[in-house]
Amino acid sequence: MPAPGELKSMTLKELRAARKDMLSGPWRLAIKAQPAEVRRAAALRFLDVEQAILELENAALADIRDKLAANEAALIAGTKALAKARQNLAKVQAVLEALGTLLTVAAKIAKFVATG
Amino acid sequence: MTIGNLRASALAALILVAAAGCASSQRIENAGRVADAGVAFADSVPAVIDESFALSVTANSLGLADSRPELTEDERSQRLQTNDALLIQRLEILRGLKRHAQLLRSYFVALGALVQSDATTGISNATQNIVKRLSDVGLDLSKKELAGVPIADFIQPAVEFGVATYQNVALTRELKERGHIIERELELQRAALGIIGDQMMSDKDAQLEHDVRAPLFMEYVAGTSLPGNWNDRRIAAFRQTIDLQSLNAAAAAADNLHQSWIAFAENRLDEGSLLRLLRDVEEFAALADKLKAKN
Repeated sequence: MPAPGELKSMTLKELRAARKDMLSGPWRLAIKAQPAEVRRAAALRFLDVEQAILELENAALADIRDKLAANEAALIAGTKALAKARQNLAKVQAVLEALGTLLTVAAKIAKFVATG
Repeated sequence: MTIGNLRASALAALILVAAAGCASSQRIENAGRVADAGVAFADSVPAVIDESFALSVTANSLGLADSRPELTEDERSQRLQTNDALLIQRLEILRGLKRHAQLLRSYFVALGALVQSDATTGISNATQNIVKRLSDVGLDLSKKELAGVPIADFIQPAVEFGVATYQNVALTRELKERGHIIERELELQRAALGIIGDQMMSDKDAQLEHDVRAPLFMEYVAGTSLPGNWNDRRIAAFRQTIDLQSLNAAAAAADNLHQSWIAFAENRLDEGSLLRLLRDVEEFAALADKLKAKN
């Protein structure tokens, strides 16, 4: 017995195959020779197939969309954590650069004191 | 400890630092390449999603148009409204998937920014600068040696090691906290793009059947004579059928990205797998570019 997901997937596959058949040349040729009520029934059945395909595809995609949405908070938290780790690296560089500037000033003062 | 031993220890420490830095930097480099692939992947998703919707509407319109002569006005109205409602629902779902792809992109951008940071050069330059400045105030470290090895020579490998270690620690922490969530995320992306790829191939195939193959068939079977371009159109129909497979490039790339992430998180991502990942993502990006150019 296939799982519900597999059953949906198998049904979708069969519906798509049926749609393709109903668009084919042999189908056109066969339906052309049929009385009006058969052609009408076939047209309505084709639209039922098309509608069922859309519904099943929507259900499958909505299911995944909902599962992805449940991941969003963690994904945003991960992005923030990585950005923060990157900022910490940049901070080290900033502190070292500031220290370099400070030492330049200190060197100038030392030179001034020595010559004074 | 003799001077000779001290010198040997210092050199050994220097080599150890460099070797450890190499191991860390390999992992960091892999993270950077996975991040690049992730960004390229996420960038390509919207074009494929847009195309999938256009193909859905086209396949749906074919059916509605063909059936129209057999329906009453009430039936036409009811069928069109029902199908429109389903397509609006589809559009909302696809919009959610596109928005989510942007979040995934941001994650890979942040990962890339951490591991591809130019901090090593920046920190190394700043440190060298400090050593130079200290000499200006009378403390000349640049000429000092530790066990015969100039201190200045320690700075670059030590900074590289320090930065790589920091990046590695941050990466390990992130993978520990959220590695499984990203794995699940990529598995869901694979599933979504698998469904979208199947839908695109089926809708495009339906369109080909309706617009190309069925007319060829009818012309041959029921036509009084064959049009002059009948064979050329037949060849084109076969070629277009083969091209349908390219619509599944998105699912192939998503699958590879998912597998590569697992291998990366387990620290067993090899060069061959990385090259396959980059090839699949490139194919996906090429498909996305082709679709963007078409629209």
